[in-house]
Amino acid sequence: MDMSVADTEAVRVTKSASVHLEAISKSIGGTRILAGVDLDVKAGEFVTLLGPSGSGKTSTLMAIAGFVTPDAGRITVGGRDVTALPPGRERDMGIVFQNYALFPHMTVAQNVAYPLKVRRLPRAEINKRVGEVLKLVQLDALAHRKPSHLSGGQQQRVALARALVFEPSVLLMDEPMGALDVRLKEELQWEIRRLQRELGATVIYVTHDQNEAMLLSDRVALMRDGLIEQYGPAQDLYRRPKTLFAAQFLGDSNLLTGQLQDGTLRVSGRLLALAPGAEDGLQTGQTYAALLRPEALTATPADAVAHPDGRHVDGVVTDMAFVGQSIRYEVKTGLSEAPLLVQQVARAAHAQLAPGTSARISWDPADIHLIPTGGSDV
Amino acid sequence: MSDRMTPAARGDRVLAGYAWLVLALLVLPLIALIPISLGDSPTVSVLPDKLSLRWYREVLGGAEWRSAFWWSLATASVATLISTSIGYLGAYAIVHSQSRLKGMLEVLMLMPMMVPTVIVAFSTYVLATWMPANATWLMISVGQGLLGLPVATLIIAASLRGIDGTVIRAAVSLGGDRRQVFAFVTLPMAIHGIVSAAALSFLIAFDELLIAVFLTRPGIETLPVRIYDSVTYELTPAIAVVSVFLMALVCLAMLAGEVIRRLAANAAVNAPQ
Repeated sequence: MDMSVADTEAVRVTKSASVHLEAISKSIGGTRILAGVDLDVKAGEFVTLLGPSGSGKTSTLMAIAGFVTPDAGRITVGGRDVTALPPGRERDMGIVFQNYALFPHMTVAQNVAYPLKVRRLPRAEINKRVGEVLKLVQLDALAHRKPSHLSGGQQQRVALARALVFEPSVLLMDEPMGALDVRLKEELQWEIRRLQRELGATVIYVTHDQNEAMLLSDRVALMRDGLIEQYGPAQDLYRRPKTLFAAQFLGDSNLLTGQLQDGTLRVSGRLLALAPGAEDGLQTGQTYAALLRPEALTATPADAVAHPDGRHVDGVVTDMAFVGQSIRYEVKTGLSEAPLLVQQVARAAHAQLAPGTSARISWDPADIHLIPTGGSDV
Repeated sequence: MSDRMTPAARGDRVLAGYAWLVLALLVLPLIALIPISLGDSPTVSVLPDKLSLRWYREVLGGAEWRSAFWWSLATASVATLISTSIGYLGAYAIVHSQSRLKGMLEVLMLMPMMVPTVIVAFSTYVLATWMPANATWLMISVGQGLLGLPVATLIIAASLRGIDGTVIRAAVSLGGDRRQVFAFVTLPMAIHGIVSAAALSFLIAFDELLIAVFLTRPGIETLPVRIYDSVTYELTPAIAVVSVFLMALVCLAMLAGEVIRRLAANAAVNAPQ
């Protein structure tokens, strides 16, 4: 943590602690909500639980917060076992809820003062800290407003200030951007990122928005059916997903299924070249899916430059869409049932390929990542 | 007036006329009490020959009526305390408990509404005979509090249900213990319901006759009992005076409530920056 930055802000989260989850499981009414979740969060780290609804991400967060009691497993915070502790002061966690859960009868300042008031801090100390935190989230001008007179983004900041003011060892956030519009969301994401880096707080954040997860987190835990499917830095999850689910959940993907043969992947009778080392640890003859992200593909007119064998395929453009900074093509090729998705930067110099024309799609073998298909087709 | 009114406009007029008629039927008997109370003779007359404040002097100056008023105020206040506090606890259990006995509790809390009042009055009377004599007035309060309990429970339960569960979760997670969460969050958020419940319980208790009649004894006589007695034995404009006095109190209370509501709304809008 960069202490010099934190010092200038006068608010310090000095206690930020590590969080450790060990085989957390929970069933409710015969349904398995959590099926043995393991998670390791370092002190000062920003970790996002990402997944579709029903994947168990919010239940995991609520288990850490103490509102869901695990049937089995252990949760430690800074080495201290908190599994059986009731939610509240002893657990020492700041929580930002999905709908903010502000106290409607209190002003902004009273909301933020609440955690300090219940801890019986002297009034002067409370006023000082509330003032500091409100300045930190740029709400000092609205301190005497009621929450109902604030915009969604402002309410969000109040909830954040209230969860930070008592310097908890962990900050938990449950889809805090769910109700905000896109522009405001982006602004707040950058602000949360800035705050977390400045304060050095340990943050566990729940979202179903992959872009949000990638923007904010040091590490992302992708969840599915009450388990963590893959855990690591966002780049790893995006570039080297371990499963088809992970590949498809984060970003758009082209998946080409084929057999591994002598350093190439045989897809629909064609051989795709692989980068050296791509097949390490994989079994020859087995079925794998080659992941090629749309931005790794380049579409050019079919008669353009020649490419070495195994690094291109010809097809017909079936759709073209201009999305501002880039152009997206759908190109039907012999490699897969679904058309290939191509996304490239929109430059004035580039010839645009109209639907119906033939196109050559090329790529760098280094951008191919192989995923075991587990026998099932894509 | 034009004869060429549309059917809808004619319908509106008929409806308005009907509404005024109903209103008049409801209010006229109450308004009629005002001239009666201003009569001079001991007989009750809607159009007294001579106006005077004689009966006002007699009632407001008389120890009997004043003592009855204070007894009513005392028993109704204690009854309000009983039904509001027990009603809150019951409502909290009904809204938040996971227990299977919850349904039974709900029925139990609403029981006084279903049982005929005379039975409640009788059982209170029996209970009171086991009590020391100077606790009789307290038993009136207990019985009247019981009558207010169902309404108080229902109103408070409704306002507790209106509190977002995550707000309470937030209050707990931010470090509040049970007492603090209650004092700082639950109570202020449910206060409208609690005040309404208290007001209704008070009115029910203040208005209550049967229990008070069963338990009345020399020296302990509530206002409804006094009115009832005086209608039975000596029908005079005094009753009209008491009625007018009570109506004025109710009007004042409603006016005060409205003023407070407006002041609060203004304060919220003009909160300092």
